[in-house]
Amino acid sequence: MRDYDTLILANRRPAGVDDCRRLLLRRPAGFTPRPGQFIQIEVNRAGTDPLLRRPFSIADLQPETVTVIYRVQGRGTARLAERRRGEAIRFLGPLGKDYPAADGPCLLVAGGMGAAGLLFLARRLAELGRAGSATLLLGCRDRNGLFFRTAFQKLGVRTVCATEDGSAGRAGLVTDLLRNELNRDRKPVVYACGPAAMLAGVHEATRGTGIRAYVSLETVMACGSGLCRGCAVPTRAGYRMACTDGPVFAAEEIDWKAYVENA
Amino acid sequence: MSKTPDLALRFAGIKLRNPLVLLSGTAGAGREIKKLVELGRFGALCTKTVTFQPRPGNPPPRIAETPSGLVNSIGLENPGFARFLEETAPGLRSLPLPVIASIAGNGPELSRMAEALTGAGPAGLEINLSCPNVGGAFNPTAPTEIERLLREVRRATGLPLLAKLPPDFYRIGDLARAAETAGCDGLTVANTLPAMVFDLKLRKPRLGGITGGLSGPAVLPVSLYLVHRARQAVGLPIIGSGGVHDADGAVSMLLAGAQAIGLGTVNFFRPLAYREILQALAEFRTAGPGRRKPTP
Ligand SMILES: Cc1cc2nc3c(=O)[nH]c(=O)nc-3n(C[C@H](O)[C@H](O)[C@H](O)COP(=O)(O)OP(=O)(O)OC[C@H]3O[C@@H](n4cnc5c(N)ncnc54)[C@H](O)[C@@H]3O)c2cc1C
Ligand SMILES: Cc1cc2nc3c(=O)[nH]c(=O)nc-3n(C[C@H](O)[C@H](O)[C@H](O)COP(=O)(O)O)c2cc1C
Ligand code: FES
Repeated sequence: MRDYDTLILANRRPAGVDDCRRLLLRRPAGFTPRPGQFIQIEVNRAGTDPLLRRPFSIADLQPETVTVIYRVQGRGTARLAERRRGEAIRFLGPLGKDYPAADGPCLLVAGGMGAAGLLFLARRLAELGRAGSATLLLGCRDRNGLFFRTAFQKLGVRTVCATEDGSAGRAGLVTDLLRNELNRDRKPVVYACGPAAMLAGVHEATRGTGIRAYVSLETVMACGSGLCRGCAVPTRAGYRMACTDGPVFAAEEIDWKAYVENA
Repeated sequence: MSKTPDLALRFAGIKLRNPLVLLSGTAGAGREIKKLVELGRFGALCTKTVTFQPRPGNPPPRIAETPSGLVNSIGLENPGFARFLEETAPGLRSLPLPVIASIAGNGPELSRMAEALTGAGPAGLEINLSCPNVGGAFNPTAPTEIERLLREVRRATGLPLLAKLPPDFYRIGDLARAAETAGCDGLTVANTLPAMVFDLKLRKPRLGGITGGLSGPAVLPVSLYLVHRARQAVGLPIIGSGGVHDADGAVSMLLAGAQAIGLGTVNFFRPLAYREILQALAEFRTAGPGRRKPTP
């Protein structure tokens, strides 16, 4: 973990999606995150409102660049969306625990922006020659959310999509796709990232089946580095910190009722 | 190039290499933050408050951002005194700066903790008299109560003893005098300001703990006022705590009457701000009034 000062190479809207941006940063020397880890990005360089950095997954890593894909959600991400190419920007990272490695087929389950962090995992699998045994299940509100699909397909990952409004792919929830997939005979390792209710659904679908499921959780964060105790996640063993004990947890560790209630 | 002035000072009997103090609850016990900042460039570090019994902390969300501020309701989450004494205290001496252990509780608990910590690692103790996130015994409010509590702790330890006062605008002078009478060696003025934030969509409080404490740049003018009033009341050295995030805020703290400058919330959003602050303090020491370059 280090506080890096780097450059914005691009901060643009992916074609066809209004409320998302692809942020391309110059990769600082020595910055070597693993899939599932995240960074705390300074949205406001000089002022103090918005005050805090915001946590984002790494969506892609190249020798010279770091990619983050984010949704403009509130004041912090709106400010970040105003930042221009060529501006200096600080970030803290890499932070948190990564997705545990596993042999055998991988099932990536993404809801909305959750696909961002899983894209980096898919890239790593592709580098290891394992993209062919990976499947992405992607769920979104409508077809605009599906802009991630091609990125996974390019890596050679089989993708299955669902939209809540039925405008593309299967009509329904990504957890419906998951149940279908688990009825096939393989025993995959599941990696999931998305809204709280979706992740609880992933746990429901995998519990007691002997299938290992890892979930990446999102909480509000202040420090991102274990200093403030602000990112508490309710687990069966009491509160754990999303930024240092997570953001990736084994699904069975989480107290899902409390997590969904507080999210 | 002129020689940089020595910023070292003795604060409440503790030797600090400069006036910058990492505040309780924003720097852990040094283990995490030393990866992030050069600990050897700070004057001291106050550890996260520990209580006699472990505390799980408040339900999430525990953090809400407000304009230039942060409202937290952590709820004094900590592993309890036994674990602190066994696992954390012994390592404190190997950190490259003096560490002040923050403790909270009722009289008998505070005395037991203070006695056990004497000689066990910390260079001093800070009694957290004001956590807006917990009630009852942790929150004495009357000057007489505070004086009685601090007298009890004073009898239990020979370590340098600081009282971290609540941000009581009307009685801050009385509280400072109570701490002085009780035999404290220094003050931290003050803690977070009691606060609330609402989620307008859900029409309910945004924090799991309902209420919390406000910190960050938004509170600086209030902390300056509190430090100024405490300074008028007593001669004890003061750590000014609340809202410092840049050179101007740090210098203002000294002008208000503080000897040391606390850095808290800034560690979360601009952890390297201390570099610029140290430079400004050096300039402040060399230049007389009216000659300091304003920050561009
Ligand atoms: C480990 C981690 C990885 C993340 N990765 C990505 C990513 O790759 N792409 C992406 O678009 N988003 C990601 N997020 C979520 C992102 O951090 C939030 O959307 C962002 O902080 C919102 O900031 P804001 O100021 O725009 O919104 P605010 O005005 O602060 O809040 C708007 C809404 O977002 C909620 N919110 C605020 N902060 C968070 C948070 N940290 N997590 C979840 N909800 C939050 C608030 O409760 C509120 O409902 C990630 C979060 C975490 C913890
Ligand atoms: C997340 C958080 C946790 C805190 N925990 C403690 C604590 O355990 N004990 C304590 O005395 N003060 C605690 N404080 C208060 C700080 O030490 C400091 O007094 C206050 O935040 C004001 O300074 P700042 O504006 O520089 O942050 C906490 C503050 C924050 C933001
Ligand atoms: S965000 Fe501060 S401890 Fe996790």
